Amino acid sequence: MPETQTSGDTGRDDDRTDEEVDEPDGDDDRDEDREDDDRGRDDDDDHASRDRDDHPRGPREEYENNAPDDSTVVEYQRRDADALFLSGEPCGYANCQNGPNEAEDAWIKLVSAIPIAGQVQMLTVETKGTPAPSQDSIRNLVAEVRPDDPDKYALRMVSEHWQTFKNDFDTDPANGIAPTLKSALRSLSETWKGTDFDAFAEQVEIVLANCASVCDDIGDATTGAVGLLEQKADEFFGLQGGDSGELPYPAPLYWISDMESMFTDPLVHVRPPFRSGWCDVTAGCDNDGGLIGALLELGGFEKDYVSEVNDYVENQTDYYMRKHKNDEPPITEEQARSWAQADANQNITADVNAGIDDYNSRSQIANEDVVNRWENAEESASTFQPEAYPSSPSTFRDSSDMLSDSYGGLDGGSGGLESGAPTGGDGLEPPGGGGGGGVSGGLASGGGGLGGSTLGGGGSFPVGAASATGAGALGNTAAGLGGTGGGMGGMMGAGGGMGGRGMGGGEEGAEGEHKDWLEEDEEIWGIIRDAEEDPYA
Amino acid sequence: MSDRSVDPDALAEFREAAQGRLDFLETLIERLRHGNELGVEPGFGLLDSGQTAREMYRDFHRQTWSNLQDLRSDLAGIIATVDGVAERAAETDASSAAHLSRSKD
Repeated sequence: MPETQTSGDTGRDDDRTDEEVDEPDGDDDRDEDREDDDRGRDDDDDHASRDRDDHPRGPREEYENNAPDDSTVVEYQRRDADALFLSGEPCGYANCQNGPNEAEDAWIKLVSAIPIAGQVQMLTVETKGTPAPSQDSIRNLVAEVRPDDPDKYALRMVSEHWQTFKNDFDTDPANGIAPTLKSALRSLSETWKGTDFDAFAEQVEIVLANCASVCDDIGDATTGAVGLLEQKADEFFGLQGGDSGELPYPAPLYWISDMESMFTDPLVHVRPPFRSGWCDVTAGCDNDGGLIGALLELGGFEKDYVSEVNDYVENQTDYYMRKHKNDEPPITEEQARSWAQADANQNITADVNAGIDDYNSRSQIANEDVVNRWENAEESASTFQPEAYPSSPSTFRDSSDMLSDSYGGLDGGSGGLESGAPTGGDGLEPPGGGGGGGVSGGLASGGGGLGGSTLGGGGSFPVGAASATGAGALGNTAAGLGGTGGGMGGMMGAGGGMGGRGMGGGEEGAEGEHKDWLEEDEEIWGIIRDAEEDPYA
Repeated sequence: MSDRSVDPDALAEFREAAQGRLDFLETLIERLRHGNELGVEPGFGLLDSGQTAREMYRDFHRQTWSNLQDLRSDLAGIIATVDGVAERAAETDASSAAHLSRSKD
């Protein structure tokens, strides 16, 4: 009997969550908390915040009430679980040894996570030799532990929505934002040439890289947020029975008051999981074998064990009657029966002891299975760390005309496409350096790929003098994103996917008549090969 | 005049593309709003570590939202820039024409 669980169940977190549910103001509190967190984070984040504050006139819409905060849903889920399952009263019989079962608490937590839509309808019970609810019951139980409209919260459903989002946002060539912009910029380059265009195009490149960064944050089957959601969905689904839908279930607790008088005075307490109040109790001799029969069956006895015992008592009574019929005074049937019952008690006790041992080992297996699965689910959830990285600032960021101040430069324009000795040579160094920074660990290799993507655009970009500043700016971009890529690759163990981070930039869209234009140097993607050496890959 | 090659039609075409993507982006952002398809938290339920997982997800969601807002600003800036270029190109043309016509006098 695990003794680790205490009555702390019902008290946990209640103080904090009361506020959240009861007071609408709870939202404000949480927002403040998040702001505090943000302040404590790295420079990039502070930078992003500052950008927001500096340019309030942009069409930016602040996060505020748009956060997907379902704390209330979770809190009601918790309260339901406590009220319906975990806050039960103990058995009313003071000496009953059936105490709290940690597997019950573990089971609630295990099944409360929602991996996929439509899962409840496929659940059954996995029996390990202990009694368990019917299929319908288990489905109802799980449904009660989960919130209303549970499919909405399914990890795989959320993942699918992100995948759809990413497809619409970027992948779809007809609607994708970066592909459309890129194609439009290519067309524009046919007629607009000069340093202004170069400066303009360079900034658009930053925007395109930011689009790619958003896509990489979202990720795919093995990377980014989607990769993590899929991974956790798989893990939870597996722990909850997987395709077979076979959920383990905590074993009922079983207590016998007096092992020495099993036949004459059986007092057996059976406590199904999540019971509140009295155990199922048998008291007195039940000749029908009804309840005691069922209880003994739990202990591993055959169903007809009780009738066998009753037959035994009858036979023993007859035996004693015959054996002592010539005694003086003659034996009474009452006397013979009491002896027979004593014999029965002795025999049953031995049998029941064996049965109880057997049951205990089976119930221990069932309970440990539940607890182990729960612990694995906890472990799984604890490594859910999707990350999105702040976009790189462009000079468009304040939603104003970036060239308005540089109008005088128009006349000084020279160069253009023809003279475009790619300054990528300069530009390419910084990402290399970024990769070098990765010496500190395989983590940075993914980031190097990202830096390469941004710079790759600039590198093959046929611009003139204006690119000197651009290279510097892009270098910063590479550095900032490089770090993020590293964290991501390490986290997901999918550096290869991160290497693909910039791939959007070198996409098929370059197949127009301006194929050379904006096309990245293939070498830039050499960094992807590093993924094979990535210890996390 | 280095910008003599600026083609108002090409600028207008680019502007239209950018504006179209800005409008589209706003419909995409809509999906992230609380209650919409991407405005829900993944169901980590009552797992102890689910609390942290949910916070991690909200951070991700928040930053992605922020990045999309940045993109929104960027697209608006791109449009404003193109508008400015078109405007100045028109002014330049006009003043050149005026200058030319004065020279002829």
